[in-house]
Amino acid sequence: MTNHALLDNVTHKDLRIHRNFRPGHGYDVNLARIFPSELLVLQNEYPLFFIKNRDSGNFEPIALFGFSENENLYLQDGRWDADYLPHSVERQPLLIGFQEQDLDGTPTPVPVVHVDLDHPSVGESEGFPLFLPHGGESEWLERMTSILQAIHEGHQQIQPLSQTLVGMELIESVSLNIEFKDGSSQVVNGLYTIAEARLSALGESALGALHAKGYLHHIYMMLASQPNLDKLIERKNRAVLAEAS
Amino acid sequence: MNRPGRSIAESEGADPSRILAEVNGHPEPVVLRGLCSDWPIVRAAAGEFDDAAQYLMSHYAGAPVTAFFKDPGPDERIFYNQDYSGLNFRQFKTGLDKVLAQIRQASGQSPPPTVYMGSMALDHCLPGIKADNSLPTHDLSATVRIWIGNRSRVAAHHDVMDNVACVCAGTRRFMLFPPEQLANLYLGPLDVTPAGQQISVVDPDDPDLERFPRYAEALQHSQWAELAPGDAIYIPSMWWHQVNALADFNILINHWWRDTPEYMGAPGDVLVHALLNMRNLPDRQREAWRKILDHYVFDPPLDALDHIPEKSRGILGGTDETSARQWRSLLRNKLNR
Repeated sequence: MTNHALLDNVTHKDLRIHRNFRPGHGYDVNLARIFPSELLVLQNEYPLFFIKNRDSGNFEPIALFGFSENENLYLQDGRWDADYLPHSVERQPLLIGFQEQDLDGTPTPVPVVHVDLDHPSVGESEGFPLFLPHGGESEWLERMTSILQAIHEGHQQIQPLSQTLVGMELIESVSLNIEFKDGSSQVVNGLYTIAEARLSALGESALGALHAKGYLHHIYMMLASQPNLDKLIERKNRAVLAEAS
Repeated sequence: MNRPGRSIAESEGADPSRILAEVNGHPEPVVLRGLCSDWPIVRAAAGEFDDAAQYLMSHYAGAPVTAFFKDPGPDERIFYNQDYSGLNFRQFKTGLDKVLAQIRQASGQSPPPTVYMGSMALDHCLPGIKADNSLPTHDLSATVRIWIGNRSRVAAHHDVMDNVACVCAGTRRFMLFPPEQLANLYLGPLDVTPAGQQISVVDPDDPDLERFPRYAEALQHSQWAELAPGDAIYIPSMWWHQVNALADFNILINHWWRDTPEYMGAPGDVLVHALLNMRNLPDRQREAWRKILDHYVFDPPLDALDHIPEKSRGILGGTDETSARQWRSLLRNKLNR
């Protein structure tokens, strides 16, 4: 459940955020939305795919953490076993809300920071404080605010990216059918990836157009992440073998 | 009319193409009769409500606007609730078409509710009418706003910007007080305000002089005028002004400008900072700070800096774009604690 509130330095003056990467602490998810600006670092850690947003019809890039709902194979002994957390994970339990304000005579939705008070990481006893003793913003909150800003900007890049890739037929559906070392298997549907054959067939002008928008970079980052799928399967194999023994 | 104070000085035949530059910095208000009588919006609004509404709607592309709605009641003022903990009107985002429909509907009600779209940037709300219905702003950094509503009364408040306001439809009554009358106006809270500025809590149309005895003194210094469509008024920065829109349908277009460098922030921030950090100092310390502010800001002696080599005077010697950046960053860091 969620309980979103506009963050303020009076009501929430004593709040602290305690990161606990154990199951049941809000990070049991098998994928997270990611944004173009972070693809370079993400492709070194996670298998990256697209999923289709049923409301907008957009193909949104995601990082995959596990093969079934709530399975996050990066959670290990209370740590998140990777060097880089996607923005959409790191920002938790904070999120962006919008407040209508008149700026220079124009009604404008202004992004403001909200907090999910029901997130397991929210408390008052341990973790990073949100506010300084007299109500200023802590370094941690300032860093989160810049991450939320990056997410806000990233959201606006998804639709044009998706429309361009769909328009050039560069997205194709992929179905994973994986057998694990304990003999169990898992089918993962609903994922999409870059259509490599189509990409190789593109002519110079189409490639030039993709490059001009910065999308060629994104495409190759998505492709470069593919070896991480085998590493993720290995994580799962270690987990199932440990469970079996 | 038999009332205290005097009518505002008037000027006829002012040149609209140069008026902003001419009044810029003038210390007293001026009524500019007929300044904008040939604007298309003034001509359109001279007829029926529907003519004016049609003119506006033919240039409206659906931009969202902020409007105020106040239920009919004994007090027509855009004001506070009973204990000043909130306001006596609702604010919401809507469309100009809806605002016009509500004004039309209100005109059939007795007493009518107050419907009011205030201070919307013309560039945002009706960009297509700006060229023909506003004054040239020369190289002044100016913002042009439009106000549309039925009968309303806005209590005395001030703006930090200079203002030339043009009445395009309806009749408007202005009552102005010089900046130094603030103590006699019984100003309300700083934190909850109807439109971002402190307002006088005295009801100017029925002042309770037993409760607000000093208001009689303010009235002695007041200046007033009634403006018809096509008339304009120059309200100098910081002059308190109370504005009554008197017709069932009123339009005003105003020009605000600040003839100060862009890098200067809002002077009102200094007041909040002083209330926070100086007001509760021990008396002797606060008095010392009064002397320091007088010495450097309000009343510096001519030779105050003569003993410091000119290039080493830092912020005391003056500010510019670059030094303002540095001091802003320093202040911001100091504030975050």
